[in-house]
Amino acid sequence: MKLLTADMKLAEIVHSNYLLIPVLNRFGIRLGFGEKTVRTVCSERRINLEFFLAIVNAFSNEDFFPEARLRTVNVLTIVDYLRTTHAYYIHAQIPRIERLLRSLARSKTRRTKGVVLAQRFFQEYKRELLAHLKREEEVTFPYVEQVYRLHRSRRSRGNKDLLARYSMRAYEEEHDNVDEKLDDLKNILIKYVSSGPDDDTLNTVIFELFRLERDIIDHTRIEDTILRPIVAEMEQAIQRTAR
Amino acid sequence: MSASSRILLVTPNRLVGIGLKKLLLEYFSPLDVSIVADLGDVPELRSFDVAFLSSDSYVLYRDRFAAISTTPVILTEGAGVSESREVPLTVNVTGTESEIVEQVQRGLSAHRPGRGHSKAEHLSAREVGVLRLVARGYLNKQIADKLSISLHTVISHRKNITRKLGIKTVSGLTIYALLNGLVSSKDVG
Ligand SMILES: [Fe+2]
Ligand SMILES: [Fe+2]
Repeated sequence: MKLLTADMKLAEIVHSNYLLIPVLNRFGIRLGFGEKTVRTVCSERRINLEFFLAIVNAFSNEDFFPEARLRTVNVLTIVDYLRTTHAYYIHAQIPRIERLLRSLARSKTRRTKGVVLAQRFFQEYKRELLAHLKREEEVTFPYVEQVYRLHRSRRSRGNKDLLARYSMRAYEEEHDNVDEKLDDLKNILIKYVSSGPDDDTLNTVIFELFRLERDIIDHTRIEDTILRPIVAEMEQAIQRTAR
Repeated sequence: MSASSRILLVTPNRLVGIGLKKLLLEYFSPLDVSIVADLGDVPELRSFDVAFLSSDSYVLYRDRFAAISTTPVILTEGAGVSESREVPLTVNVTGTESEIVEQVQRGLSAHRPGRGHSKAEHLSAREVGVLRLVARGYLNKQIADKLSISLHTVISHRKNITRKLGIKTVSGLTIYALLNGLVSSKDVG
């Protein structure tokens, strides 16, 4: 895949990979950007240009992941991006897949045993995924923000409590794999489920599962290889000043 | 499963070597591709599965292919240059990309006819037994006791089941078992 750069037009980026449209939305960029370049839109919207390019390139290309560059990005910017990504799963992707499965299961002609089981399996997955996202939003991300502030203020007071309650080590341990089940569901739908005469709805479910899986793998990669090491380093710096 | 096939490209033309290597990796990964200028520089020809080389070097080194299983594929300029019976495999480097890709594919598959993922992998009777118990909510240790086999054996059955079906999680395996009538829904918690 072609490398996306600052002086390309946003429209060109979408033409190179239309799956990036929702990623642009996460940065607050809406369609209708005319002939504007990435550089222009990023400066208008106060988006960190380097971060934006790293994210869209990594999203489009599994093998491209500029770790060193991403680790220099402000951690609040990263958390912000992760939060809006969660919102996209919660408000757009999960409900859409649910709707499609429900419509398959409701129809008399399309309701097969496989469809019913797949629907049940997806509900189970949804519960797990939502719990995962909630934990990050209620515990991990607020913790990261506190560590960031503490690290910046260079004060040592109050830090013992903060670091004792939670840590990146704890996050590493609890951070479970949320793409395995999705992969299983895809496999089951592809190999063992028939939707009866209506192929298209089932096909759409499968497309959506591939898309969600790809997105989640990318998201988890940012959490594990960017967010965690940056914050762990701050934890260590804070601990050193506390001594 | 064996490691990826080892491919040797013999050409003094660096650009041809790089181009063919890119094409091989793009269309036929995973492969392990090496480039050399002259076959005389390769002591262990037998360690390669397929060697692409010019007809000149093939004429020069033909004997080296006699006693080994390495498949020679001749790079020709123009179609139908090498029509000799013993070496039917050629790639016409002046052809279109699609033609080249198809000819390369023929060369690669001559080395390993029918190998790959096409073989259907069915679960063995023992694996089906283990899968039934997994679907009914038994843990590995309980399965070992119930079937009077070691825990180690249960784990290796489970690995094989996952490999054959492409399903990793217990919930996924349970759905598979239900769909294929290995358990009924009242057996599943
Ligand atoms: Fe997350
Ligand atoms: Fe996560």
